[in-house]
Amino acid sequence: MQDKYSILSAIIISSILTISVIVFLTIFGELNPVFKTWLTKTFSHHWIGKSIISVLVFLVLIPVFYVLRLKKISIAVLIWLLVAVANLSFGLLLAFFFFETYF
Amino acid sequence: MDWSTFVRSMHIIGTALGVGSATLLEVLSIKFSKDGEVDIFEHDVLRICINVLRAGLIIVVFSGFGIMVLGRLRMLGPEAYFSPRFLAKMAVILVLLLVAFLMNFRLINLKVGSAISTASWYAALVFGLWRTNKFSFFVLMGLYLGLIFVTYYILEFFRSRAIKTK
Amino acid sequence: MSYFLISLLVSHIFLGTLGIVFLTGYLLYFFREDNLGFLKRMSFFAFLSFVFSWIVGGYYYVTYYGHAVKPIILSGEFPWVHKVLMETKEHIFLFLPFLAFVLFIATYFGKNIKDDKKLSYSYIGLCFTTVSVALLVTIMGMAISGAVGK
Repeated sequence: MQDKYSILSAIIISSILTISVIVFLTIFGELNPVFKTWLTKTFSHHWIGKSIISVLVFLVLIPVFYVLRLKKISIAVLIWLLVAVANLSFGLLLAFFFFETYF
Repeated sequence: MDWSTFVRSMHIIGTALGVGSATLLEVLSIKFSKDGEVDIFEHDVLRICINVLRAGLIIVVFSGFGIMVLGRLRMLGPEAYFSPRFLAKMAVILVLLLVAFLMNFRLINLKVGSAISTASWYAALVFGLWRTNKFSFFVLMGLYLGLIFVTYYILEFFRSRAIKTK
Repeated sequence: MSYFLISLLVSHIFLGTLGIVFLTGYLLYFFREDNLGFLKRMSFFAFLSFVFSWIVGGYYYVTYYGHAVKPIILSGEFPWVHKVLMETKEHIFLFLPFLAFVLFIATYFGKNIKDDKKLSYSYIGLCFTTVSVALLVTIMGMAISGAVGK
């Protein structure tokens, strides 16, 4: 039971951080052409780079948070946190590209 | 049979299933509620209608995307896909999906929800067929809103008549 | 556009929509009795649908969209469709496999989900968010396809 909780909470926290990393990579890439060029040169396309990095971040963070066994937060709270981060990230990216286009 | 004929046929079949089952749902629910209760058989019949309606919606959505892809390959562009008629039809489908969700979780009055749902199916049908209309998006949405009110009051009229003739 | 690329585009749309259908099924049937197996299957197939949609859509985007479709949209009447909608869509889409995976694993491990009301609502919230994001991505995709004119 404890093990299931630890695995699930590690996956949820990793997802939250992965979504945050996607947002960071996207905005940083748009504001820093050198970084975007590096992504393109390393992965053949910047979007492929973001996809691969996000998967790697997710896979690496799961065992990290599983081992860390942070202070017990209920699964419901973690899921709601993930929901909040996903929604905020959506809004942030949409707003960013809107402002980048028009201002 | 070419792809265009196939996806258009599926789209018409899906619309027929959706419009037909939405209409039948209203007719049957008024009929079944005449005696003040819905028994197990009547509940099963209504459930079948709802499942057919859902099947129709799924067929309409997938075939609609098929029609869109074919249009995209022919590069029909904004003239077709940003036209008031197409945007109005999409808005109606979105309202239909939202109301279906709200009704499922009882987050909306069922009489209001069913009126919106039925009106939406008919509006989507008419907007899809009415290729010569030159109305703006807002006029079409106004007509749609009007249709919702008319549908609600027609259904209420038949419901009250059904109770009176009990 | 070659038949291969057409197949990729169609598969991308079909799989993405299928993912939405599976998650909608999850939402609609969540509160039924004894259906944990059904919920597990729905969330698993939704996850797989989004992953494969990601792969085929990504291939189409990387090999074709950039050089063949993007210039048409940018030179057309609605360049903001690429600059705002497509740019947002291509990054938002990356959220979906992770959201769907969490839902699947949470359902898979969930023995007494329905006994705990707070937990149930969090699952509903996650599923609803995933469906909403997927639906908005779909609408953006429709606008993008619609902006490709002669």
